[in-house]
Amino acid sequence: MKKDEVLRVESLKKYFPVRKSLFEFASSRKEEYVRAVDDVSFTVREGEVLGFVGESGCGKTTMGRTILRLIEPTSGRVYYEGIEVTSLDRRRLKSLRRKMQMIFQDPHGSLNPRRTVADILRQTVKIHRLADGKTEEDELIKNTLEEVELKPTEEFWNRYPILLSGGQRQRVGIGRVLILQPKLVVADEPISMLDVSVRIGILELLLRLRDKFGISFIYITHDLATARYVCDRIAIMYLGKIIEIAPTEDIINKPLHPYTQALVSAVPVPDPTVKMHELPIKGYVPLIPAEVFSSCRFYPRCPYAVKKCHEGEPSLVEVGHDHYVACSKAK
Amino acid sequence: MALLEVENLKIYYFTRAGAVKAVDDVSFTVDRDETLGLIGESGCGKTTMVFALMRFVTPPGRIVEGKIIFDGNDIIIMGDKEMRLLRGKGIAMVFQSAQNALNPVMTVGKQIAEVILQHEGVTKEEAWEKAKKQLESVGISGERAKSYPHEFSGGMKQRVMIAIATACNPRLLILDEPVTGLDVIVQRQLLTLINSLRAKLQLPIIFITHDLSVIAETCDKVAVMYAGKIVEQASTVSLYKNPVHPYSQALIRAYPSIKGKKRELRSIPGAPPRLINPPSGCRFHPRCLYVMNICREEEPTFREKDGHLVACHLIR
Repeated sequence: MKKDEVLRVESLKKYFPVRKSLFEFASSRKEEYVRAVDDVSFTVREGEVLGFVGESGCGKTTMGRTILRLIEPTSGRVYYEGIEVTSLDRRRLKSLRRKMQMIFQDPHGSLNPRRTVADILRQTVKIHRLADGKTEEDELIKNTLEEVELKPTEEFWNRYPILLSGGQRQRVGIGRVLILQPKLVVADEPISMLDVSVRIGILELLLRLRDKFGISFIYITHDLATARYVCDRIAIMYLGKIIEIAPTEDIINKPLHPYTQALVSAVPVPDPTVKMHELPIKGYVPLIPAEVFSSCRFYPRCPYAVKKCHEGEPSLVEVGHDHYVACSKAK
Repeated sequence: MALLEVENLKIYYFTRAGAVKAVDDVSFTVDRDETLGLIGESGCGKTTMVFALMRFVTPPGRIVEGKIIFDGNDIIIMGDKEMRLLRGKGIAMVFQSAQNALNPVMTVGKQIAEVILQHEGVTKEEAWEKAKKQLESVGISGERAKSYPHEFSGGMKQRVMIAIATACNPRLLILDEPVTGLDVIVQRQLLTLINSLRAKLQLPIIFITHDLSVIAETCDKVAVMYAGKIVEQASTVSLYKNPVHPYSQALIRAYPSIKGKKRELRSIPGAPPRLINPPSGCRFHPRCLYVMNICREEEPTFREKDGHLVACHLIR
């Protein structure tokens, strides 16, 4: 493991069995799986924001959860600072969870409506035994609220989540994570349910916490435009696999995989003088990616597909500085 | 005369806690060859306003004041029977989240044919044939008319919604967040469809969204809404280039783009107000960078600047 790596993921897989009807069971049809995460490997460097971008159903959320073992992986390994997370027992996993945390998409659903802001944070403090006695607890909660800019803290202390705006709720969610002083945070679409005018404020907060506390982020989103704003590197996912991973501006300005190219050109631009152009790809993402792939999984939609693409699945190859693509045509 | 004229429209929701002023004194027009984009954050009243155009506002909501003149007739005082004829034929609407707007136990063909039967004097067979044609016009094979909504993906459901809305050649089409929640590639396919339909049918459209970039790609004219009021109206190109109202400026500055050089984004401090007790004077004043004393006391009226209609005290 390299020195500046916080997280290393090796051949991570998560297959969900497809439920069979009784008839299919009796006819002993072969077991089928949805390959939500299929052989994914990558590393996260210290203080880095690594973006995972893909369409819905590409497995990005499952991947994020599997890394934290909120979902148990089918196979593969996850190392956090050299410790193998995938084989830890419950007790050791709990103490490691302090270091690896998650921010959820829905700020309305992820906070307990019957607890006040302070109590939501206090619960975390208690579970992880972060403080000795009430005064110390209060101190810690107060500092955290200030850190996530819920100021003046007295004003928010006894409020219930229903009295907060979406942005403020998401700040409570971030505070709950921050109070544990994690090293790695998986942020799953943290701004997609917020108003446009408050989104940037949340992203700025995440970046500030990164700089101040050296937290690394895995930033999961479907929105390339905001990913560009926060991420150092971006990984593009398609049907459970990383098909391209590179520094952000390379993904945006010189995408190499045909799918990445389509994704980049599909993003609407907030400038009426820019003309829309035709999408290079056709069709839809297959609804249930259950079959085994013997070809490149983008093959059916790819405008550049040749015979070679049908013969085997391409793996990630380095084609430029820190730029990896899984495509037999891209060089 | 414009196709649609909305004058001083006020729609309040009368709740136990008091009146929520969802739409407060809003005026705008839509011409026969125009696409108007209505942009604003959630809860700013955009959906309530277009619901009024279809007369869908139900208690505790009420149209308190104002006029909605569509093709010379005031919708607000129109009889129920006339109104029923107008919906679908005069003004058609594609609702937010097609997922919930389609009837899950009825084939999509039937749902399209239903509208045609209501408005055109045709037989069931003719309506069914027309429904198939409608599906094809939005890029779905006519064979799929016998499918149920759950057999379609999100993007295709939205196409079906558009097929229903355009089935009786309406004179005005309202699209309420038609691409929100869809993946970018599907989104792009839908926007292309909407633009081509607009060109083919010469259909005026009111396009509601919170997404600046979607407006940029579809609309001729934009109205920016904030807390129940329109704060600026201008042509799309001009608004994006030279926004005048501080809220429009802030909104554009807060919006990330994938094209060109990465520029610095700036957030707008605070959060949108609750409409039960909106701020005095200009409703944007608590979040405005250029707030003056007068902004807290007096509500700004519309003034013209560089072809923009703007409600802001900064403009003299």
